[in-house]
Amino acid sequence: MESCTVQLDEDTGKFITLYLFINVENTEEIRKKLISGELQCCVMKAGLVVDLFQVIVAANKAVVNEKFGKLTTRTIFTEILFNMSLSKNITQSLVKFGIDDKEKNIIVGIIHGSDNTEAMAKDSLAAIKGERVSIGRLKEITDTSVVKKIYKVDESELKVSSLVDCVVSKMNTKDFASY
Amino acid sequence: MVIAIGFEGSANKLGIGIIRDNDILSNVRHTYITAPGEGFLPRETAQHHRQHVLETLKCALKDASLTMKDIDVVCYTKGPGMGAPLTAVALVARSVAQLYNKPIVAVNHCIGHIEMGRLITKSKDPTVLYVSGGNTQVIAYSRQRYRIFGETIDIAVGNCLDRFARLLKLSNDPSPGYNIEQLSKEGQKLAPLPYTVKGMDVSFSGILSHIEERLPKWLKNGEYTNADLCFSLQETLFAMLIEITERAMAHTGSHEVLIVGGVGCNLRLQKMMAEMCEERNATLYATDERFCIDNGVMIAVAGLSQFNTSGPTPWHQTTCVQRYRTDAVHVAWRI
Amino acid sequence: MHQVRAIARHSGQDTMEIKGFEIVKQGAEARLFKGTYLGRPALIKERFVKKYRHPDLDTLLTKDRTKGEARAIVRAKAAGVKTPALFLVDFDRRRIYMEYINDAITLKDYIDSNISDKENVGCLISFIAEQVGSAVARLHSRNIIHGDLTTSNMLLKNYPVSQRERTGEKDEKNNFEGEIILIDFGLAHVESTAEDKAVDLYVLERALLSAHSEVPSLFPEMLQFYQKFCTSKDKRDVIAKYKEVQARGRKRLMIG
Repeated sequence: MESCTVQLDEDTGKFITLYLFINVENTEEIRKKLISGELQCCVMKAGLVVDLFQVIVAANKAVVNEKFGKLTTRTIFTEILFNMSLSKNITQSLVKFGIDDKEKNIIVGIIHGSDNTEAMAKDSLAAIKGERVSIGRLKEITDTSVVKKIYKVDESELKVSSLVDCVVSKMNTKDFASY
Repeated sequence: MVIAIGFEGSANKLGIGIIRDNDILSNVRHTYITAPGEGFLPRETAQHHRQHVLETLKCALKDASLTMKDIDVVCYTKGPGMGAPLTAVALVARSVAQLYNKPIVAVNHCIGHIEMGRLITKSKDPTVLYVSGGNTQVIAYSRQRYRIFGETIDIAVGNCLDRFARLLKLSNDPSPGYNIEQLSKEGQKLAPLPYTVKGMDVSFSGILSHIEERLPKWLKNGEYTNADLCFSLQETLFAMLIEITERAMAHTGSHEVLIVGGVGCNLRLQKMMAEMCEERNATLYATDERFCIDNGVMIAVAGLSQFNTSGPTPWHQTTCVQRYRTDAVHVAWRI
Repeated sequence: MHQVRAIARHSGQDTMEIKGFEIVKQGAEARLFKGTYLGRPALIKERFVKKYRHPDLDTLLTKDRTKGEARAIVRAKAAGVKTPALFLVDFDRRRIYMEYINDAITLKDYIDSNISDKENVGCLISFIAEQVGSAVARLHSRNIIHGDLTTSNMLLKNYPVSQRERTGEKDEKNNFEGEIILIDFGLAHVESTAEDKAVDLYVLERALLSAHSEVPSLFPEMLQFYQKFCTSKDKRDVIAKYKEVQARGRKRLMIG
């Protein structure tokens, strides 16, 4: 499976398509293009993603908030990174989940309508110098122990829930709960 | 045709009523009203009842154009209620029963409210919200008992209103609740008050202490007027009551609501309940102050049903009890 | 009149239909819809507007309860109690999107079909009592109050349906550990006193009395397991308070 497309909340009419890249060489360049707005996508550290569902939930919350005019950050793409974090601090969240110049393994997320995936993905994907691999290989890349630490998941919790379910449940309540 | 007389005096209302089967022949009440800022105490209330019971009895008989000889059965409130007023009135009921050699029936006050509500409104099998100075219960009938689905876990809603009226030094004439209701119509601003629903139970004591703490400040800086507070209190208390009633209805699948008890004549409560019922396609049954507020007719109604199915109460059991739960009564007259 | 009302409904905040979802329950406070969301089986809980309530109070209550519910669901997981995963908490649409629990039945249905009016079910009663008692104990140990503990708000998965299945030899096919999932945290709150916990237990007792009066040993057994598993420091206070609340209920002075 080269990529993964999921329909987000029906009322937004939006979809997300996700790609996994390894051995990326031009992270610094990608980062600059993201900041300038030249690249219209969301790019994050693959190592902090335990399951694509984690990104999908963050993206869904972002498009729903956008629909109701309630974005906390400047763009839908930074909003996804912010939503993934349990911190209410925007800068810290973007630094944590966004890419730094040394990052090798990244997930690229593109938000689109029902029919314009190809066109939107083309430019973004072309800008990434790295190896696009099957989504299934994410599990080799995820740093589970770091994820558990970031999301403060302990063993008793994992007895009654999968890691990704713990993670998304906490992400969804960050606005009104402190972790 | 059976003629029953009912004696009620479990709290500050002394009431005597006479019915002939399902027809009300008279309904007389005398209320003990205290000064603003003061509640009614057992000793003084009993004193009031003793002082007025004979004139009330005469009046009830006169309104019905009957004499004691025409009465077939004497009914009185056994409980629950305040000990001294209960016994003061029971003494009179027992005396007339002895003097005129009439059978006597001991009645549960709460059952009296329910049965009279059903009779007046012709509702069949309603979920009952019983709200008064001493009681707050959501009741539904099942297998010959009125079962309590939800209730207050601390003070009754009427008690909360009464004590709030005392804080604001509102008049107790004709009743604190009535004066709160009138004043609330001028209220505009909703003060956030604790809203406590636990399962099908409610709690009101937190609201009172919340208000008590802030009242001097509010009135001083003019944040809320007396009217605003009456309005806020009603909106909050009643929303809690409607919510637990609705929960009980969802639980039992019932499509009728009957409001009984003194607080039940509050029109705002009735309006809110009607709105809830409309959304659920249910029917609301409520009565006015003649029957909502404690009275003698309700005791006669419940007593007569009991008399018709189970006969009189044995003489040695014609006592009074302060604590007497609604679900303790065997409702032999319903299927 | 009827038509006018239907239109008013449609243009208001209330939703009778959600595309791709089917309504599964119309409760006193919320509607539940089942469907697929973000590629997973999902349940939407939508709290509808209560017209009888003052609009400010209604908005505030809905927001508070939605928050309280979501917060408690997450805290319960950390306490080791199984709850649905949260997919989205949406204040604008007054909804919580959560995981739909497959292959589970409510504890109420389980008791009605496997315990009520059956013989030789002591073992199953103990099984239920342990499941519920320990789950509530775990919540209370982390100061979480469910607020509406009833057997309709508990789901069971992987459960025994007879004494034999419970006590018989456990092999691959016959290993009924049982899993309890707590749902409907609509009246829940975190941070609590001994009194809150006591009332939570009292609500459970009352619910059992009204729904399962034919299984009177259920609550006392649950309370035993509760005490066994509860690790909170105020455990003794909670039990003492519970007895107080219970006595208050039974003996409440009821005047007029």
